[in-house]
Amino acid sequence: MARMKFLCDSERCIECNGCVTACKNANETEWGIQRRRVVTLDDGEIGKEVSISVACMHCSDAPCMAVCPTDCFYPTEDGLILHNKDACIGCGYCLYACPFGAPQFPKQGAFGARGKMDKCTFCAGGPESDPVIEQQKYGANRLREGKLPLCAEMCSTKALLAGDAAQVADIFRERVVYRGHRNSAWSSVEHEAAESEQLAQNAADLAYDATQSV
Amino acid sequence: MLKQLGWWDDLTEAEKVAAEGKDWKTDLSGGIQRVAIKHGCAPFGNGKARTIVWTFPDAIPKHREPLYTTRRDLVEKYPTWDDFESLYRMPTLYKSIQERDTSAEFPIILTSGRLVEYEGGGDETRSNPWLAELQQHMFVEINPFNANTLRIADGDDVWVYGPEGGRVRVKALVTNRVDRDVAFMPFHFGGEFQGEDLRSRYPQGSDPYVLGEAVNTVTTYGYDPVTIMQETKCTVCRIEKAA
Repeated sequence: MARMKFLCDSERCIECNGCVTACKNANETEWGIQRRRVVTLDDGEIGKEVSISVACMHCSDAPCMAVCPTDCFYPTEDGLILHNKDACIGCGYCLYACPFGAPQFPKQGAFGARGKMDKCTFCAGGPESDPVIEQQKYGANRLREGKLPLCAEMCSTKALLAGDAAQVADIFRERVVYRGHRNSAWSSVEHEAAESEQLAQNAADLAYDATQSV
Repeated sequence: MLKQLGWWDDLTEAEKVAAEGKDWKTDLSGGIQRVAIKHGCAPFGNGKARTIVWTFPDAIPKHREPLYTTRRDLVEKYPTWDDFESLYRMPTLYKSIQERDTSAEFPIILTSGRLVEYEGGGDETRSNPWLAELQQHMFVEINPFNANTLRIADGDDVWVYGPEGGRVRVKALVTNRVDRDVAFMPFHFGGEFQGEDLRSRYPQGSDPYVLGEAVNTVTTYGYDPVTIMQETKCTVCRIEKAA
């Protein structure tokens, strides 16, 4: 069975925010709801600056699912973690549990009370049978149409990969192998030879991990 | 390439370390460029412009120090042109602007430029909620060294003063993206003027989601003598924390 995964290749991400805009385009989330964000570390430090695009990683063992008091989360057969907004009470436990900051809460009502949680659905919609209501509540269901999430499809440098974990891992592993050379066309960040080998190994491990399900 | 030409040993030891496996574009030490120029070559190859345009004020392009500069020593070495009485029928000033020494009062070089998600003047971009959300404030990039001296923290409101009397109130972005002597502002904002919000003056329903100070409130006089393109990329400024 396919297991859907995102993988952002930080050597390729150029911090253009195209994925963020694509997400807004596909899902028409309101102002302030950032299902996907681009994080840049060591901004402006030559040789160190690195960017990565983050959204819900659809964890194999999702902490949000473990802490939710109303059990609004459910895994799909594609390995995605989706949630039911009708069950959500806006308690925010998932926000504290998530290591990626994926859950987003609209500010509603008096005293900035949290509304129902919203997060990346891997463009797979949610638990609604009526497509119109599904679109309004959860955003696009591109997976049903046989399409991948719009953020990954629109990524200009193909840094952000989405799809079946095994395929994503193969693409990434191939890149890592070609990057083995110093100053190869792929790499924006320079590393010492030994360090570079270690990083290649880490990346290969990461690609392997992505193919494993629990 | 340098090794093939037998010029590799012209590099210093430090330059050799930095230049190993690099070319003229990626060698940050500048060694490859230095050695290539010493041997009479253009570092990027010998396809350099050899044309002499006798109708241009400079028949061959050469460096002339900007009208507003913090390097007064370079003004003597690379002076600008004399004022033109008629440049495409317009009197255009050069030397008389450069003669005024503003370096003590305005010690930081100011440049302006583009943000990756923005288009032109930014009116369209700031009117699109998906894009407007990405950058909600006009800002000035300040090097941490300068910011520390000026006691400015990231996200503070600051006033940026230009040498021709303009000033803008913007957010400080403290970052190593800019050098110590340089500040940067994007040119995509408008709708505020010297601290005053002009949103009420937009025709109803046409105001963008995000407004900000326009950088060209503080940029200064100057025109290219060939194209009459205005100087928006190179001026000087003073930054103060806003009360």
